[in-house]
Amino acid sequence: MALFTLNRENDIIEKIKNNIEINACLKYLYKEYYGFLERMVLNNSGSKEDAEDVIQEVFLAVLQIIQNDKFKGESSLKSFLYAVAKNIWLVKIKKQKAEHKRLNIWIEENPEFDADINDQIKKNEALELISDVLGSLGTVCKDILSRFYYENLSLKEILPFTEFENEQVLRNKKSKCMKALTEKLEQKPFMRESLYKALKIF
Amino acid sequence: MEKTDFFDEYLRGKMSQKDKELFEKSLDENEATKANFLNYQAAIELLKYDGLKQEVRNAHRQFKAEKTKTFDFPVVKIAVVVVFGLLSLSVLWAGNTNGDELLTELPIHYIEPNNRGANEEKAQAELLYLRNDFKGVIDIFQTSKAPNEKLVFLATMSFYNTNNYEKAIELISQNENKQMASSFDNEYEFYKCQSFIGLNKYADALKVIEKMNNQNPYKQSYNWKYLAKIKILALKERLF
Repeated sequence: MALFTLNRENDIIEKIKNNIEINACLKYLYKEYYGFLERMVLNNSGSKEDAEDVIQEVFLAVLQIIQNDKFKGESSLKSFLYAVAKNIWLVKIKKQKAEHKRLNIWIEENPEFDADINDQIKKNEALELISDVLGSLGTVCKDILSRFYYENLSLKEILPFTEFENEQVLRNKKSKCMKALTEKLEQKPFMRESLYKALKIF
Repeated sequence: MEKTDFFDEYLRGKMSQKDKELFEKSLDENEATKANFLNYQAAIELLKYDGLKQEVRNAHRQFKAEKTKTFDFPVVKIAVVVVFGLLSLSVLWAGNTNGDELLTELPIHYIEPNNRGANEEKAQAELLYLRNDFKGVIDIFQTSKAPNEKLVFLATMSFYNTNNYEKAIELISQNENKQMASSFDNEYEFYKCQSFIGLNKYADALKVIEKMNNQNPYKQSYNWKYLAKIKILALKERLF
């Protein structure tokens, strides 16, 4: 691999880890690896639509695994993406009860990643099942919570994006929103339990 | 301070060591606090998951939009190449087109004046013309005091055939100025055009063709290729 690419990828991994310039990082991943991942799915009895879904899930899982510090650059980003794609596609295939005729095309490489990848896949499945609670939260609440917990902004930084008078009012609103969200989670005990299990928080 | 603020401070590592120990102790001892905290953590995981999912979805949309654009690009590129290629070929063709072949590749050949017009007072002129002795015809014409219609025509054609295009045009113009119908008007129009071509005056030749009577059989014989060549040469003449 060219030194430039290697440096670029190290830079990308570092940015993903710190949750900065995620859009630019994803742009790079899409540009460099979309075709590669699409071919992999197509070569393993998948359709173009399957490839689109799988690739989005692959990139999501890759971002999460990197952010959780489970990928430390032991192998190339390409091998890592390959491993994630393989696992996600296998799970999908099993669910679809499709024939496994051509699955032997996958080359077993970096099996050490598989445990972490499968953990992430399970987490995402559990998160996806319960994710509709966010939809019922309301735009203002979702916006505040997303900026605070996902973008990691402080209340002071969030204030200009809102119509609240001051930080204290915003703080109260954020607390109310978080309370509403946790209450909604409590209303789905089974899903919540499987989420705890997948997240390994007890 | 709200309960959620404590959770945030703990998760963001902003608690003092003492507060942290107290908080962890309360988590161990108080089931309700622990349950709230677990729920809180799950909610944060869900928000982070949703945030990243939105980022991937947006990037996917952007990528697909750009892919569509790049799909369009080669079509535009191919169209540009085709147009450019056709233009280059046209320019090359126009550049290589000269008037040399226009005089040799006549759409139809000269219609012999036999049995047309008045009898030649000097019968020898027609005989000389048919023997291609153009100089002999010109001599008879130049020594004739009152050349008739046929001798003038034979002399015009003889000047044309000896490449004296100026003189041929001069005689044709004199005939036009008489404003009298001639048995050789069709030939005069056609050979006026050909004489201009012989002088490399393509714009004038084109004007003669444009003015030419539609009944003139010579006009009908101009094919598109011949006309195109004259038009290109006329354009080149104007431009350079």
